[in-house]
Amino acid sequence: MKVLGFLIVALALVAGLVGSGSAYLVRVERGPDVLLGLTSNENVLVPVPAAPAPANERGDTSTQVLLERGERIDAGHVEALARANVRHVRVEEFALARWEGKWLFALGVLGLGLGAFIVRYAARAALADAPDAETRTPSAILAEIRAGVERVRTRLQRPGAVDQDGLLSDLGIVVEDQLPAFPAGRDRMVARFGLGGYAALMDRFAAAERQLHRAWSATADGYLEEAAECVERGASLLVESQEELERLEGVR
Amino acid sequence: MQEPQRHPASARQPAAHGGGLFGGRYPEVTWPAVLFGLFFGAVMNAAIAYSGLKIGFTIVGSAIAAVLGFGVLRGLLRRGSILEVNIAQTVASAVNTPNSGVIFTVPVLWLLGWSLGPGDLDFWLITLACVAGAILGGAFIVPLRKQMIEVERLRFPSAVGVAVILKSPGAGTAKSLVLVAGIVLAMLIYLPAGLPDLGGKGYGDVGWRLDVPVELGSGATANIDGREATVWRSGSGASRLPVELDRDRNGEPDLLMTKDRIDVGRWMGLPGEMQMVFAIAPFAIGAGFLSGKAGLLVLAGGILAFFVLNPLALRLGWMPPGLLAHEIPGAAFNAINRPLGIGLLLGGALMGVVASLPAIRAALGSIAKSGRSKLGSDELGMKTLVGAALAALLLLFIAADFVENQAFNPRCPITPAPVEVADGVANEGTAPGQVAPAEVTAAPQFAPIDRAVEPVQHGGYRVGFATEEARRVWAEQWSDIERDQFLAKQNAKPGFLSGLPSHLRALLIALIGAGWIWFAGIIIAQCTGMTDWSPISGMALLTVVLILALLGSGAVLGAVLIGAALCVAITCAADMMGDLKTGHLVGAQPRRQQIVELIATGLGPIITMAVLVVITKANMGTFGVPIGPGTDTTAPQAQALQAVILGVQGGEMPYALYGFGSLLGILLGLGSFPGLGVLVGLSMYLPFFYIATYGIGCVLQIVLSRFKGARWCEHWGVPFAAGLIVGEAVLALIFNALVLTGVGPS
Repeated sequence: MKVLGFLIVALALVAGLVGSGSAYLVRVERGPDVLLGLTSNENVLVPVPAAPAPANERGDTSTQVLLERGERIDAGHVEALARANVRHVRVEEFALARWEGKWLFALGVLGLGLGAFIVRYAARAALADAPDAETRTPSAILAEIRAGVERVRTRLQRPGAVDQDGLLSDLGIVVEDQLPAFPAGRDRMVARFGLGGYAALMDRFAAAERQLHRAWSATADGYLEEAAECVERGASLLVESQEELERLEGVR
Repeated sequence: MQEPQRHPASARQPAAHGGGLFGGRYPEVTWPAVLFGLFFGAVMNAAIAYSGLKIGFTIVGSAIAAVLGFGVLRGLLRRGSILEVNIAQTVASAVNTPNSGVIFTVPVLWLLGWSLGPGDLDFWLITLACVAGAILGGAFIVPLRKQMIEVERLRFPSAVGVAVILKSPGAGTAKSLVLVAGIVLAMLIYLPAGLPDLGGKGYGDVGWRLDVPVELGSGATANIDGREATVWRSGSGASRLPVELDRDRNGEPDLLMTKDRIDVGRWMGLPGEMQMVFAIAPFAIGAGFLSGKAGLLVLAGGILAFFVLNPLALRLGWMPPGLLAHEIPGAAFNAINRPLGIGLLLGGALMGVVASLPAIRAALGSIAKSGRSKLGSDELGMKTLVGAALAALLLLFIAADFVENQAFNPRCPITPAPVEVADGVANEGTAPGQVAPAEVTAAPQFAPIDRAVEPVQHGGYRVGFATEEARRVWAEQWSDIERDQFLAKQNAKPGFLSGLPSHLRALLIALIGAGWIWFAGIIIAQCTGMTDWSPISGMALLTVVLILALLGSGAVLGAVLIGAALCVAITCAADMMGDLKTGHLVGAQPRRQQIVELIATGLGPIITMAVLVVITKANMGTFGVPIGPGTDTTAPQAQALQAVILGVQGGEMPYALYGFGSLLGILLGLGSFPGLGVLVGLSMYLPFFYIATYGIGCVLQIVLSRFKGARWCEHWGVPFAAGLIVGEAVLALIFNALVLTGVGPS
């Protein structure tokens, strides 16, 4: 279903763009009634085969200017254009009545609307159909992150010198592996809580994330007291994130 | 929550120095970091501005500053925490970034005949507007940090690359080696692309050319167009190659690999209207890799434009018949792709903003709430930002008001300067209404206006004069018809605001300009966040069109002034957001980054304007023209802007295409995600050879993710991609600096 939606969107976009592309074009065969008085927006050059034999072998041609950019089209121009088999002229003035691609454009617009509807419908259906067991719930991911942070806190609270490399490794697991998993479930969370609810949740979570990144940097630089403070702040913000998540889920 | 623990000394000792200007034990904003950033930012600004004037785009400064920040702060000074180096790169990029906004817009004034220098009021007004733009761009985008970085999770590929560099000392030897491998590979690939600028040999010298059919044979060398070239012969006599094999008509089959790109399409024998050209640009592969799937949509948009629309335009007879097939992409780009692409971009961005409103509201609410908290906020408070925005708005108004109250015309309508005729004898120029002598071949040159002479209001414009006498002639001897004819010759049609008093007009322009800067800043930040590409010049073109529509088509100075302010603002907005993304990934405090960036960024436009003065003076001495065609600094983006200004004045702008593109962009955003129009539009508007190379990076990421896993890509692919971005940027900067200092061919 989603693939069909995307296909319709792609085809409709092509139709819309192709239809738009002809907005300023006027077909020469429509004659002086339509063309007279319009202003050309391009130099219309027609190829004139160069006579000498060597030039022909090069495949070169000379060109003759039939109409210059900015020139008002008169009867002479129309005749010359028709004689040279020029099919279209690009003009400065736009008129709905002259626009040949308007129906194609309208088709593109309709197609984009239809395709968008199908894509959205399919995305919602997919989210609703996917059993929770298939993907980890935000609560489960958050719990895993909190467990990882707890491991870091335990390491920091051990008596004696802190194993800096071990601390960096534990923090690395939290910031590189565990933290990115939470926002990866964005679509699901937006579908459940709305964009406003998701934003409120991410406000706390991202603050926690930044504190944990700072803890990693401070550890790498050897500022362990700073790292410890950041881990504590991060842990506290994760608790707030959990509370916000529960509020959104209606648990509280 | 527990009290923080004290820890005994560990194996890795921090350097023994204070916590920095904002206190705290962990150094973040320190004097060495700020001073390094200011100095190196100024150097980058000058070097990159010069290269931007030559090639038409600028390179990423943050990554270079991050690498050199490590070298200087950690290597030479034996200090510098990860966050300190982050501040150094933040300041450096804040000083460097405004250069693209200036060089894409301001040179158009020289191209249109203005003379700008430190002695001219216009020069300082534009500088003031650019400084205002830099502050506005930052102040407007800061409140959206939460929405873009924390909620939308925009990728900001280069910013991720910078974070990887900053974190490399703690990331382990293996990751650092991967990063270095990326840097070295990028340098090796880019070296032959940059060497020709220094007089060395490059990819073009490999001599990989198109195959010549046997029947054409090959022949001797001859002097063609003043150079030695091979003349290819057919069986029936001497002839040069057909144009399909020799587009540049130099008598030799065309190169498949030129200095900086490979034409795979010609090698594969694709029709001329289909361009499959790849830029030799490792940075684009790196950026594509970091963008991943989202970047693939950019590639899709490029393919749609260059492989579907352009050939269709040719087949349907939409292009002028005299054009050769290989000229179609260029012609279609100007006539169809660019306006539709910019329209799509605008519509997509508008949809993105509308769809993000709940998130923006939540983000602003959070900032306001934390601002009221006794604990203080991690962000700059709304009051500070509103204050900064108002101050910048005031600067913008002052600049606009000055421009509005001075003469719009650079040359006097009455007092003509001597005009060179064909035989070299000076002749008098023509005043409006007079018939020029048939032998006068050059355009009439009028004397420059004197600012001491009070301008006269006519048709919504203030007309300036070279002398009091000229002013008297205008007032007493010229009829309204002659005056209107003068305005018409200057292409000065009235705008929507022409009937208003000049101060009110300036106020409205400053307000509309600021509102447009806010919207355009969001567009650019979104584009950069999703793809690493920022369509700055497209926004500048639109701004100039908008201001010309409001003030009148003759108000070029006012339009360029606002266009320059906008261009600087949006580059600064994107840079601010990129730096904040890096900061998020290394745990920097946003507030500190925001303060240093807002303070430092005003310096950037001043440096770039000074560089422009130096370059134009040097060009006048060497080439006799200040900038543009005929000089080394051709200013391609300013030339595009010049074409748009002349297009507006001549009534040639395809406004309907912008509108249709916008509608399609809005509708595209109704589907899978709101910003889709931005991605598709972006690629229709950018040169395809960069998009194609960028696409390789996207495809690589997708393939590797599938076969090696997303985790593998994050661990090993990201540092390597970051290395590709940095390697090319560093080497390009070195080449630019060498050329700027006179190394290489003149």
